[in-house]
Amino acid sequence: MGISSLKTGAMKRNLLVGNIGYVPAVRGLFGAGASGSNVIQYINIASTGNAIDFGDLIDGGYGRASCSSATRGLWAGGQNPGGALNSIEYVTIASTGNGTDFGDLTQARAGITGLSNSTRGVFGSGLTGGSGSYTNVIDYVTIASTGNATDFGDLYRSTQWVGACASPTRGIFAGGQSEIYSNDIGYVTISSTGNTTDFGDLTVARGYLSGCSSSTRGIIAGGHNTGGNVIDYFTIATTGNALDFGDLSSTKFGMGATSSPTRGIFGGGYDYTGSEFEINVIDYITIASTGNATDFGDLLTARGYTAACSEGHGGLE
Amino acid sequence: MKLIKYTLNADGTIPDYVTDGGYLAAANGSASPQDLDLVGVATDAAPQTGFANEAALLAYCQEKNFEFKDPITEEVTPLETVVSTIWSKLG
Repeated sequence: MGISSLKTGAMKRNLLVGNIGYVPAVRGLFGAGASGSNVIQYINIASTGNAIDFGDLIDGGYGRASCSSATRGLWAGGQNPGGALNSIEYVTIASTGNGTDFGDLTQARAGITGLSNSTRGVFGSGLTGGSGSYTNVIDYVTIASTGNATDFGDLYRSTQWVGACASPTRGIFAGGQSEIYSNDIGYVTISSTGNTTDFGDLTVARGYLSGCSSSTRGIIAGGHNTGGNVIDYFTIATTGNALDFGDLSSTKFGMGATSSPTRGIFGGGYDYTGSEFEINVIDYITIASTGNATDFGDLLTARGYTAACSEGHGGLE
Repeated sequence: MKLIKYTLNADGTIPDYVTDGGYLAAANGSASPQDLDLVGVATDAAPQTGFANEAALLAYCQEKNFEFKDPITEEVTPLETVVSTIWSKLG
């Protein structure tokens, strides 16, 4: 689907891009992360510029999940020095304000992952406490409201740090790290409830993944093991194994990922080669193509385990 | 069924004979997308010779210096556990 058919809050703003002209300025937000960060920063996905400060979340920490409608971005769960979080909070994407309390997850957990369509946010997987306390719980909320989450169903396995993405009807969870790295891809119908159904396999089993999508193509990238530079893709409306899309700019994990209808974004994370340091790199891909990722710009600071959302991702068209 | 070492096809797809794979990724120096050696369950139609037994798979993991360490909890899964889990996929 082309940019001209974008039906999101992003239509309110345009961005002059090189010799292309004015295109909808889809805003992507990165929030929370390692070192107890509660910082939210944003980029215009149609550009290739650096991130800009947005506001602050109520709860900082790593391993939070994010999802969004065209107007509202949510962050849920995570981990800070006080333990695993059950909190959900939201921001108005078109503003640059701070987070507001939304409600609570059914289960406090970190390493949780979010996906959404325009009305419903879905959160799956996580680590509820100490080592090995992986969960398969999937929760959901109605994004336009506030209130506590409701149980949705169960993930394909108890695990953490899965990748996720969505079309307007189908949500995809993939991979994860528990005792071993998972190659699973499972899907749910976002408007219903129920357990994940088997979709196919990733090309490389891995965890600490990041996902984004157009309305038709899902992308899963990164990973905390050799193969963590791999970008996988699949057609969301079908089932089947993932295919190799290309490579990230480096082997990395724990990135925040989001998208416009055409462009996938991967920001921050940890470099896997060597000492596992936090990075500020933002990569982008053209979702409808295949190929390696291209440098976008930088986050405000190096930030691992951050979570991202946007006003124009694949679940919203 | 057998447990084999393989790479993706040149077009980036998983070989048809692999039924459950992508495990134990190891760089092999080739060009992407065939730059990783992977381990997975395959049908007997696979051209590769399978690992003979669990001990052979463990030896391969030790040769490649695989480590399964959660980057946050720093919990390390013993290689024997990883190998046993993957071997059990043969059913």
